[in-house]
Amino acid sequence: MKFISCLVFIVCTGTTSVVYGASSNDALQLAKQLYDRPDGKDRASFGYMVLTEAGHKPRVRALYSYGKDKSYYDIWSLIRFTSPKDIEGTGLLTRDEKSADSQQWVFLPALKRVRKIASSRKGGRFVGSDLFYEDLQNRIYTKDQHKILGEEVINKLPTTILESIPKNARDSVYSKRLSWIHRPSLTALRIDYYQGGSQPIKRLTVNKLAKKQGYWTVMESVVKDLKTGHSTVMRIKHIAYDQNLPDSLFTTQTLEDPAKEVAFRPSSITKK
Amino acid sequence: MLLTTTCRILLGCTVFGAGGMLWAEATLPPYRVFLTESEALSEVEKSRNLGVRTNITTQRMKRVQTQLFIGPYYNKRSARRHAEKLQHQGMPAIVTLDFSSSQFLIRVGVYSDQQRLSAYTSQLHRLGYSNQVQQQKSYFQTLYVVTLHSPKQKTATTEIVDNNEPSPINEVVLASEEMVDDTLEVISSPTSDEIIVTHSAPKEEGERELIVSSKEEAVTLDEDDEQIIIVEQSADSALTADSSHEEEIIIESDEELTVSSEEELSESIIVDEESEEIIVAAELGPAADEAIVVADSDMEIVIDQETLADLDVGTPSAFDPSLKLDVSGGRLPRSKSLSDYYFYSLALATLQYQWSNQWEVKTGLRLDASKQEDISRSDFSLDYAENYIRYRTDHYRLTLGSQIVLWGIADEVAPTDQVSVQDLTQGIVPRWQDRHRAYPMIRWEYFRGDSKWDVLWMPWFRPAEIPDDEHIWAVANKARGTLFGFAPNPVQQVLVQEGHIHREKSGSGGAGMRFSQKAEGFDYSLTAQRIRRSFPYYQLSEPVRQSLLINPFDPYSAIAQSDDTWLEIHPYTWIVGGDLAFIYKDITWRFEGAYSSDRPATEVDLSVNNYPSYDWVFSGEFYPGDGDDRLNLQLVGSYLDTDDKLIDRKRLYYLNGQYEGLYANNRWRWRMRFNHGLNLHDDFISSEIAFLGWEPHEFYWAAHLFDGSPRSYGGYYKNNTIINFGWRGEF
Repeated sequence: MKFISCLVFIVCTGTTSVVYGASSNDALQLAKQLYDRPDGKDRASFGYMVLTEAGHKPRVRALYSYGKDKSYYDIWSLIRFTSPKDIEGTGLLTRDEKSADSQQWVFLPALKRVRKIASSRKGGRFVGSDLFYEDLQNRIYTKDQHKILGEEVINKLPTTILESIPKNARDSVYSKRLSWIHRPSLTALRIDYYQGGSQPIKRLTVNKLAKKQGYWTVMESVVKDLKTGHSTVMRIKHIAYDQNLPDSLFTTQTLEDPAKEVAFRPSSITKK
Repeated sequence: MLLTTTCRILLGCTVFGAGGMLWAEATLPPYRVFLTESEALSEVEKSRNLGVRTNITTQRMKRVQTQLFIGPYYNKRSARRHAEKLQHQGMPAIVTLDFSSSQFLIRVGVYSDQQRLSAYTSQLHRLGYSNQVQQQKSYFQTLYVVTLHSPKQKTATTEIVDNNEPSPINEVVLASEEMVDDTLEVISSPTSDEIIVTHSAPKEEGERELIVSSKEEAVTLDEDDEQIIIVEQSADSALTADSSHEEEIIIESDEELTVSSEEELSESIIVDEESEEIIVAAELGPAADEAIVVADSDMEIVIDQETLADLDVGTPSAFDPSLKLDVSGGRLPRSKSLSDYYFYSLALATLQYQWSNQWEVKTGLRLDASKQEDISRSDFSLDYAENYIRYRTDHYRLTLGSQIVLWGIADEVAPTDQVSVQDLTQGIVPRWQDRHRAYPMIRWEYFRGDSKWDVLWMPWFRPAEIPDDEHIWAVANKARGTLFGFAPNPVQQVLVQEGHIHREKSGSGGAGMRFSQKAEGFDYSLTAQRIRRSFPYYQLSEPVRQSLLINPFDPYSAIAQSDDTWLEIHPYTWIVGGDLAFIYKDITWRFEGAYSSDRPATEVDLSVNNYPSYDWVFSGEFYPGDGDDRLNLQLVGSYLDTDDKLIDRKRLYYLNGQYEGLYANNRWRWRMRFNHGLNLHDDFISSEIAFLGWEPHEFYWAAHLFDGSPRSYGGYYKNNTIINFGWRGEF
């Protein structure tokens, strides 16, 4: 299904994919297959992002992430930062819905307010990382035209190269994405992002993949800005699937009260 | 049975131990077990050349091992070059990033054998890396198991895991997805580093079972001899794991762990991120036979060599201490400034403790210190911050104690935000959210879905925090004889400088209620309050006023009529209002308005009466160019509904806003705030450039400029235009 909950997840599978077979129909079917990738009815994870740049001290952002598939199109997610201190407690609640535009609220502890914000934002950097807001969104595969460019081995793993071009250019900050899809895990091991031009501006590479509760999970990946060299490492420390997360977790009540989510934090579930 | 099986297989097993490589061979060997990935890969290559399909699985067990590093390297390219050089020497060198130093290291293998470690260390010394060799001990051992057969193939659909909702569009068939339904059981014996692996699921034809046991009939791992004996129950057994459950297994403690397909047992799995299971050289090329087939039975795949060292990023604890510091110093360049230099510092310490899902307590204290050049003394003030106890259930939350509650949705001037205590000790130099103090109150919040009822009662009134009368940010400035909101004149100057101000602090603060709803496509709220505003209004005491009416140019006589020349008043008022937020054309539009029944104002006969008033804010927030910049523009209006002739301004219209831009990968931030009067000259511009690259520290340079008519805010603080340098941090 969809993969809003885990940041690493989202980025690695946020593009649609295709497998072997050359027809565009195959491409579309397999794009759908990636969109339908098994990731449980709900998921909760704890991980961190490390923002690195040559000559500068790395910066770390730790966060909890929760996601729930309400239906095939309707996906709810909640992200809560736990460090550094200046953004501790900041929360982002997103409800992706087919029938309407996505709704998004942010909770800023300093303001002590829940604020409605425009979910159409795509191009800004998420907490200073190399992820754009679009990378966090649940992008349905029908928004792109897909084409298989061939097959390639990445790090000795067989992959299929998929070109995905938005049908509506204004619908995405990217003009094109090339994804190297590892078929057994239905995961993009590498994604090159283009913003016009022939050279990619950004590259995602998966470092570590593991099965957790039967679901392939990207445990570590890196997004690198190919112009500046700035990169963001994303790593999941704890993850738990199918806890039957309640709908109340994805309300503005929980958004403004982090204590409400403590019972669903994955570390308390995966660790004895 | 185990003994029988073990004996039978032992007969067909030949055990080899050569150098550091450990591997076991049966009569028709289905496995090779290695301690290093390079040797495992070499075996894969060798087997494939013989036409045998292979895959790699891994197991880990508790064992002290030593990692050998050389470095550090500041440049990744340089590290890679050296790593390649070592690889040519036959050394298992890979590049890693050391987070703590942001530098690169070359890991030259992991060793549990001291002799091998010494040998490699000596070799590195001979190669000229004497000063760079580092050793790090860890307590895990990875075994690389090369399986010499093709895993069972099955066809799967998108409903591989049946608790995922099937796609309503159509069904897609996955080709040749590997699925293994067996259960893997691993039992560890820490004393001898031995493992037991058994299959509990029914075996199918051609399927195999591997048993590794601490008993003599099973596989044993002897640290001294570095040998593994693999005992097989059948000739073509397979080491497989349940594909639908956890596949990363670490045995790290002295207790026995059993990993099974039962979900309730999965809690005993401890996941450790440090170990690398399969490391494959970073190569890119056309699809070829050399590609590794990753089966579902593979437990974990580590793809890139340059993976980040694990960080000590812990999950938050129930105790959450926090310390916020801010130190700044600035120069006031205007020649009419009361002071040429001004210094300010703040320390805010809080401790939050959540001892259960229901109960939470928070305590906090703040210390403000300021120094201005013209006053010989320094001002220190100690104040309580948020100190409360909170109880919550699924639907409500009750909080008792001092809190900061900000109602409304507008910034800087929120008409419905009348239940907070303003902090004017630094004028409007701090951001709006930092210009509030805690207010003792009882708060009850009731939640139902996305709607909320919020009820407050402030049993003890707390007025706004204002600086001393000689302070540059004083609202009633004795040094200048000015009063905020009034045009200065000679009589008023004497009244302020020579008179006494009676401060009103007694009584209750009132109560308020707010209902808010996150509806489909828009959010709104409604509020009703019976409160006293924290910001004071200054009224002449009646004897003084009467005296001035008789002799308007003799302020000294007027002052003599009463002990208190001025009264700070905070009259009760009803406030009814609401707010609305929605998104249109990628802009967040916000509207907030309030009716106030009693707003004090001074008539021309110097008497003070309360009048109804209306306040509103209409704002749009957006991200120019869909980038990292945020801009919020607000149109603000205020109207006193009376025909009486007033000294106060009846109508105020402003355009204000905030801009925040992030640059150089968010290492620099530019914040700007402004306020521009639309019906009176009133300007304020605040610009701050901050360096954020050394978290959690912020170093900033700021300029705050004021200008305007004497009756305006900008005009009142005109001579407080200040240029600041400062540091702030949160820990």
